[in-house]
This record gives sequence, C-alpha cells and structure tokens, in this order.
Amino acid sequence: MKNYLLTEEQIIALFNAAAEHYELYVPVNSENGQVFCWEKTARLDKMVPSNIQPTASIKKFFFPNSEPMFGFKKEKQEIELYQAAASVPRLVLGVHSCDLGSIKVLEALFKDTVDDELFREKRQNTVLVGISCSAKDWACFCSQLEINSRFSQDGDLFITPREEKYILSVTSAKGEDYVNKYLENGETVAGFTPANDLGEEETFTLDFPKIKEVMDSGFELPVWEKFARKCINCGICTFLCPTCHCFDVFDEARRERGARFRCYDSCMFPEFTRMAGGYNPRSAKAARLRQRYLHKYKYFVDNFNLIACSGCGRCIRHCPVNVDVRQNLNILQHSGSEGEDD
Amino acid sequence: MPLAEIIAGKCQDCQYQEMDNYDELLPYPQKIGLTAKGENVLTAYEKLEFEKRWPEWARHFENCIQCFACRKVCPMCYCTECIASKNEPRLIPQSVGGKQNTVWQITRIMHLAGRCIDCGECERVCPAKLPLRRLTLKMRQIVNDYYKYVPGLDPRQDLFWSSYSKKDPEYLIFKPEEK
Amino acid sequence: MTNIYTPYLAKIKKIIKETHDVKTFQLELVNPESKKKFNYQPGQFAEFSVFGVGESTFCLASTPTRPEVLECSVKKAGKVTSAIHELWEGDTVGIRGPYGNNFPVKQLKGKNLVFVGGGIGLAPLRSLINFVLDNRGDYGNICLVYGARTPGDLVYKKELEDWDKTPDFATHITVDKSAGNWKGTVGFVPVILGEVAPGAENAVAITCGPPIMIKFVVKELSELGFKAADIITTLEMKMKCGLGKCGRCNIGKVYVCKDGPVF
Repeated sequence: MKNYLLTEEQIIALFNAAAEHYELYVPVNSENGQVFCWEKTARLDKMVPSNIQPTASIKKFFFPNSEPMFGFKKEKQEIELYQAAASVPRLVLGVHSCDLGSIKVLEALFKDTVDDELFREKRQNTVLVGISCSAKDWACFCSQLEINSRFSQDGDLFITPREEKYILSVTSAKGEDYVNKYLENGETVAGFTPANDLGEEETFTLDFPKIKEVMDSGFELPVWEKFARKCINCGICTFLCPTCHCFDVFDEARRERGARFRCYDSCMFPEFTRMAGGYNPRSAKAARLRQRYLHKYKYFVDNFNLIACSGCGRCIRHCPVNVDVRQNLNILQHSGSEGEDD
Repeated sequence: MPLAEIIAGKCQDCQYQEMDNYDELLPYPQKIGLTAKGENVLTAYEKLEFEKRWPEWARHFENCIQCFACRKVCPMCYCTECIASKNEPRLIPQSVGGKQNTVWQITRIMHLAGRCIDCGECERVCPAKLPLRRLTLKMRQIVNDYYKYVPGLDPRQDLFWSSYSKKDPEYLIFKPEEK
Repeated sequence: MTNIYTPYLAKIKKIIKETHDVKTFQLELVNPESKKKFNYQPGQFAEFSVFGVGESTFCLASTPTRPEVLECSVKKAGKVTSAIHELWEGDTVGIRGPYGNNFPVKQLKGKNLVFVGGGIGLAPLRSLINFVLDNRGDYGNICLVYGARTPGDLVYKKELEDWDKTPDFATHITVDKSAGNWKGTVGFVPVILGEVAPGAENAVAITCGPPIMIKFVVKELSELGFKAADIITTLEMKMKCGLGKCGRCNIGKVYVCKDGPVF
C-alpha cells in the first residue's frame, strides 16, 4: 500500500484534476444540516468533510433506487430491445469505512453464480475515496463488526488527516491508476500505521458467531414476535441499509415504448412475497422482521461467509419507532433456545 | 428537564393539547409551552415567492425513496390496499424518481384532505425530511375555509368525504378566478 | 451494455387452451444463437415476459428430447398471467433462462417412477414423463396419479389419454369434485395414491402440486415405504430475478430459484 502526504490544496487539486472525465460527488451540508445523499458538484472548493454520513447509503451509486435494465419498442407483433446505456465514470468522496465495508457484501451477492453486469459496470466505473470518520454517534456500531472507522482498505483511495496535512492511501489498483494519472508531485511516506478504533470500550458486545448459533436453531423463538411489536413495516431500514439488496422487477410502458426496471423492494412489505394466487409465505409481520435479521446475520453468513451488516447505524437512527437492531441482537445472543419474556 | 426540550418538534406547536373526547385523562406532568401556532409552518412558507416554490418541492420529491413510512405511520392511512401497492392496474409508478415520487406524495396528501388530523408524524418519520406538514396543513386550511370542517374535532359532525350539502363549493383545490 | 436480465425474444407458435384458466404456449426462440444457448433439462424453469406488463416464472413443460418446441403452461392468476392469456399466436414475448436445478435424470435410470401431480403441477412432471418416454429403455415402470379440482381443470387431456394407452404406464386420474359426465375416479390425490399403492421397491416418487397436497402426498408415500431420499418434489415461491439475487424466494438460506426448484 502506497501512502502520500499531501496538503489540503493538493488533495483538492487531485480531485479537481479529473473533473473533466469524472462526475464528482461530495457529501455537503445542506441548509437544514441534513445530507440526504452525496451531491454532484462541478468542482471541489474545500476539503472533503469527514463528519458526514449521508442518509442514503453508498449502494445508490451501484444499485440505484430504480434503474432501467433494458428498453423495448413494440411494433405490431414484433419487439425490439435496447440495452441500458453505459454509466458515467464517477468519483465519490468522503465515504466512511462502514459504507466501504458494505460494498464487499453487495459485490459477493451480485457476482455469485451469474455476474450482474449492471452492478459490476457501475462499480468498475466509480472511484471511491474514503475518509477517516469523525462522526461516530450513538447509533454507530461498526466496531462491533470489526470495521475500523478510522481506516479502510475496501475502497480505492483513503484519506486520513495527519496534523495540518493528509495521508492519501492507495487501496486498490483502480485507486493507483487514478493517482498515477492525476497526482502531481506527490510525496510518499513510509511507515504509515493507520489509526484504529477497534477494541475501544462498548456498552455491550455483540458476539456474532454466538448470534448465528442462536439463529441456526431459533426460527421459532418467541422473541421475533416481541421484536415485531414495535415495527410499523415501513421500508426505511431496508432502503437506507447499505447492504440490503432485494429488488423488484417490473415494466413501465407508454404505448409502444417502455423499459424493464428494477427497484428496491423491501422484505418488510407484505407484497414482497405475496404470490399471484394470494398465498403469502411471509404474511405475518414477525415473519418478515425475522427474515430480515436472519438474512443479514445467518443466511448471508451461510452462503457467503460475510455478515450482511456494516454497523452504519442508519436503520437505528432513522427508524420511526426506535427499533434498535443492536438491542434485539443482544437479546438474541442471551436468549438461547428457550427465548425470553419481558 | 422542561418537556419542550425533549418533545418532538412537531408537538411543540400542537394546538390540541386539551381535547374533550377522551374516556380517561391522565394529568399532564407539564404543559407544553407553545412555541408557535400550527399555522405558522404554513404562513412562514407562504411568504416564499410563488415561482420559487416548485423548484424547492421538486428537489424535495427527488429525495423521496418511496419507503412508505409516511403511509405506515399515518393514523388516517387505513386503506386495506393502498393505491401505491396495487398493481392491477398500477396507477402510482413503481419506479422512483422526481416525477414518480411527486405522483405518490401528492396523491397521498390529496387523499388525506378532510382526514388529516395534523399529528405531523409523516414529516417526523420521513428519512428524506420532506416538509410534508406544509402540504397537510394547507389541505386542512382549504377544507376548513370551504367546508367549515376540521377533522377529528367534533365526533358529531358529518364526515367531510361522506356528506354533501348544497352550499358546498364546486371547487376544491383550485378556486376559480373571481370576477 | 448487455445484462443478465435481458430475455431472449421468442415467437408464440401455437396456443392450446387446456382448461378455462390454463393455456399452453408453444414458443420458438427468434434468434438461432439463443436457441443454441437455451439448453434445459426437465424440472427447470424460465422467466416469461410480456413487454410492458412484466415477468412471471413458469416451469418448462416440454422436454429437451423434443427440441422443436418449447412449452409453458400458464394459469391465469395475476397481472402478468392475465396479460399472457391475452396474447395471440405470432406475438413476440421474452424468455429468460433456463434457471434452477433439474430432476436428477441420471440417478433415476433403472428405477420405477411414481408421479404424483395436482392441477397445473403436472407441467414439470410432464416434462420429465415425456423425457422418460423418449428414453424408454433407461427407466422402469411408470405410475401416474394425477388429480384436479374438477374434470374441467385437468390439463393435457390428450396426452393423458395417450399415456393411458402406453404399455408399462399406469395412469390414475382423479378429481376432487365430479361434474358433467365424468365417469372416472373421484377423491383427493393422496387418498387415491394410497389406494393405488405403488410399490416402493426400486422406485422414486416425484410430486408437484399445491403445498397442502404435497404435504399429504409425502405422508402417504412414507407410509407406502418410500424413504425421504426417494421422494422428489418441486417447490414454488414468488420469484423475480431467477438468479438468487432479488432475495424473496428463500426458504432459510436456500433460494428456490437458484438451489431449487427440485428438492
């Protein structure tokens, strides 16, 4: 891993240098102090902020809320298909470790069995620039998932502040290409040890292997019903979650022209599994919430050996009814097979 | 700690702290000091020039992710099958985007005219922070101006959607230009 | 940019009306290239699309041993299936697949086969039955127990008659409720299966139908002496992508579309 010591001006210049070829996205403070998503900007004029975690997660760039997969045109009995256009190269700045970690999950899923070109192409076309997080709040639990909020190698480049300057770490071949192409007079530093906030004291620890063990035999636990009592079955947690990836496929057409889309779907919605005949294998709210938890902390581990959660805390922060996944997992890990009553 | 500091923002201008249609009333620990009257959210917004309003809404609607938290949390969204989930025929576009989200939001708000009790929950839960209460308050204002009806205040009053009087104006949203 | 969600275009060559709500569609892939790519085995399924309406999942009811036709039987139930029912011969549709696993045709060699089907669940079985008939020497005796709600709901009537005349092929057709001039058996599939009582010796049972029927058929089969390993069933869930990505058809960690539908 190569590391450069750069001044603020140099960092800004490095990202502005490519503005012609890349769309530049930064998390910026809007007037009400809330950042919904990275916003496109023509030029970077000040340092990338390190304290902003946008509400919408990074998955939006590779797996958008809804995207056309192909277009079609009908003419009498004939059909003509059009392929989706290639994506524009993008440079996304100020990504936190949790979001970078979540991409591994999506990558594993989308390349499994058959490679999903829609996802891969966008990922290949995007340079992700991480930044050492200075915004850990009450809802964050990345360290529980062994994600270091101060440093991550899951993106392409990573910025760590050092005194008045910044260390720019090159964490992928794509990042290296970028730096070679656009960095002028960069001074490399040897012996950079990234900061690490893992192992800092937490109020409770989540033991994920233990949780999985409980889940392995815990399909019928009474706690699922208890967890679901609060839940209102909206899609906030799934839509904002950087690792949630379930989608729906549908057509939208006007007269002869149309397109087939895919868009986020949520296992929290009853329509998610309702079949045309009316039968719904997950008609109960508790069953849907259980599906979400099991998918993240058990099925995904079974299938990909990865936990489909990066501890970004969005589902906790934005839940309208304060469902806290950490508390629920904590109950699970202490519940064993007989469950627990309140 | 004063209640006003921990209570949700939307409750701070609650106009209905004293209702009389309860079975039991627990004593309030403290009265919420009203910071503003409900209408102020709207009147403050209405100072904005007309031309500037739409671009602002367009930007807001762009952010909607169609998570339907507004619908799920709304005490007056009680349809067993929501028009947004219906697919035969699909009337609310399923794809997400500025235009499509506008269709969804406007449809929901209009459907709540004469029904919305101004609990402000939709605005509170919205992860994209859409200022939905401006819209619902406007609906309440229109319904009250034209039909003298405030939802939820008088259980004896005929419901707005299920009653008709010859005095009702013909228009609802758009008042024809007065000559 | 091509992607895995783009279907092959196919022409509807012929539409056969099976019952009041089931039609069989004979398709031909438009592009000879895609014909070569579309290699399937009995038990696999495909995504059938009507452009402008959407996609729906159907098992392939034809057998690869008769490559001239690709058949899907569609029961009218929802939005897409209704749109499919409104199609005409000559219309272009999309077909994506084949997906999922298939019946273990190699392991079944030399075995006696017991097919138990209900309603439209005969479709995947039909694919295997015809496959077996085309490779007759490789397999033992065939016994089919097939039932539907009413005589009018029986599908592939013509083929059922042909099968009945085939040697070493015992067909038992039943209906839940008699109607019209029905002279055949009346009774639920599991009950009739118990009466027919095919031997479990060197036999494998393959079942497909409504979940409740499968449940009782499996019970009946184990009473007849079939071991769990000798019972094959196909499952159905709501599917969208067919590739194990969209996340709705899982039963536990297993995805029906990717790891199934044959279990």
